[in-house]
Amino acid sequence: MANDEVVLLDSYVSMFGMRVRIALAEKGIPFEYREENLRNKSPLLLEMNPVYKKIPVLIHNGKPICESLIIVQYIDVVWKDRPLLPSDPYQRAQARFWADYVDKIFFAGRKLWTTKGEEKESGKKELIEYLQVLEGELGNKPYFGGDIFGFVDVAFVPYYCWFYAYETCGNFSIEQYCPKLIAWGKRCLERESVSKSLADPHKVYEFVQIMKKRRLAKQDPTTELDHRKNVMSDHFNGQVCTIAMVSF
Amino acid sequence: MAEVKLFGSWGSPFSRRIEVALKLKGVEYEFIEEDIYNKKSPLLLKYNPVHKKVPVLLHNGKPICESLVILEYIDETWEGPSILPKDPYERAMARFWVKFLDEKCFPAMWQACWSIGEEQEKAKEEATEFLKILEGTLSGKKFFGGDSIGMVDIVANFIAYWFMILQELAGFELLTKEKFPKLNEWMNEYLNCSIIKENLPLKDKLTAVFQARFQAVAAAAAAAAAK
Repeated sequence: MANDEVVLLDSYVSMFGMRVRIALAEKGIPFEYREENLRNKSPLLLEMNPVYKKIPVLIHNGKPICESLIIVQYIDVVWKDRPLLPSDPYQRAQARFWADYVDKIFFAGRKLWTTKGEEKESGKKELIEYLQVLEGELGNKPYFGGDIFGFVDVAFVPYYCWFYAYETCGNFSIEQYCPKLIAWGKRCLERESVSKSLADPHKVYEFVQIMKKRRLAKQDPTTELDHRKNVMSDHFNGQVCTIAMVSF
Repeated sequence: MAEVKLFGSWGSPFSRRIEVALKLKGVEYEFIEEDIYNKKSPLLLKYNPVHKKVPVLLHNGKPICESLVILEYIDETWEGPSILPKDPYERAMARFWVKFLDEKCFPAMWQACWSIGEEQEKAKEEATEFLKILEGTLSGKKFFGGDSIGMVDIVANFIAYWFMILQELAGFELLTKEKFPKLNEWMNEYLNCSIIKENLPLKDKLTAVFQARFQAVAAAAAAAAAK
């Protein structure tokens, strides 16, 4: 794969971008990192991801791949050394399940600086709940992948550098609820691929402070869309549609 | 004891996706209907403690949850027609569109059916935008998967069947032939596939459930407005 051209359109604090950085680093794939200014997106980003206009985007020999976990799976198949996903289909299904679960953290965590009062408290409660489920899934294993740093670890560890921002905004300690997750995070940081891919937690917090100021000014439409992602599957699982959900 | 069991619900598009995939691969399975409107079975709660939802596939006693995860598992475990493309780039694209359907398209379309007033207008606009994007991907193709149905087609079942019923009940028409000629063509081809049309819930039964839900929502709205 000596003549591959690999470009990553990314943003320093994005946990989604970090996943791709880690995967590329784990596999020793040389790539060009391009920092996007998300308030002034490059024509290349808009061309390569016209549907979402979001980072990360991996451009492999001129062809774009979007959505972080889809990119990581693509990388895993194209560069076969040092596999991130297990070879057994059942184990792979479990890995995909948990990687998908991890993103519940994103929506809950965001409430800590986009809402206040009761809504913020409920966001904090949700976040702790999800983290505790993940702590349970990790158990006494060194990594979510077992003895091997794998797909779920790649999916989740970027959130580790966001913990400081969550804790400061929410005024709580994650270690108090999930000591194993903190130990796991530190263990992952011993890997070069992780330590050089994760953002500085203080820079993440600075970013969050800036976002908080901006969000207080206007409602973010994407929050609504994300909230209603599960409404349809809830309906087909017997959950009654309340008037609150219907009128959003 | 059957080697493959599926916990599902007759009316759920998520559950039907799995049935189509299993049938495509010629896998024999035992279907366990979950009474989701009344009470979920202890077995379902045991096999899906995290989400407590259908569908759940049980293979040799081991559970797999989340319809998209199950679809990939079925494709990797059993021989037969491919659900996902073999080429890594095409596979990434299929996964991209499937995620787009589940996370953007369907929530907007669903909200367009169940909301009212300004919220509904906004949702209809969004849904139209997303459907236009989808329409664009069908250029020169019979199915999203090419000549035969693939993962994107299987996941898009909601558009071809459930949504068509819902929009009529809700009293509007988003998916017109004028605005979406390719999607309409796709729907015809899709619903003509025996593997699809033999695995859909009965229209009357589905209509009755949705009607009842519309009435309940309207009653709740009236009660809230009266306060």
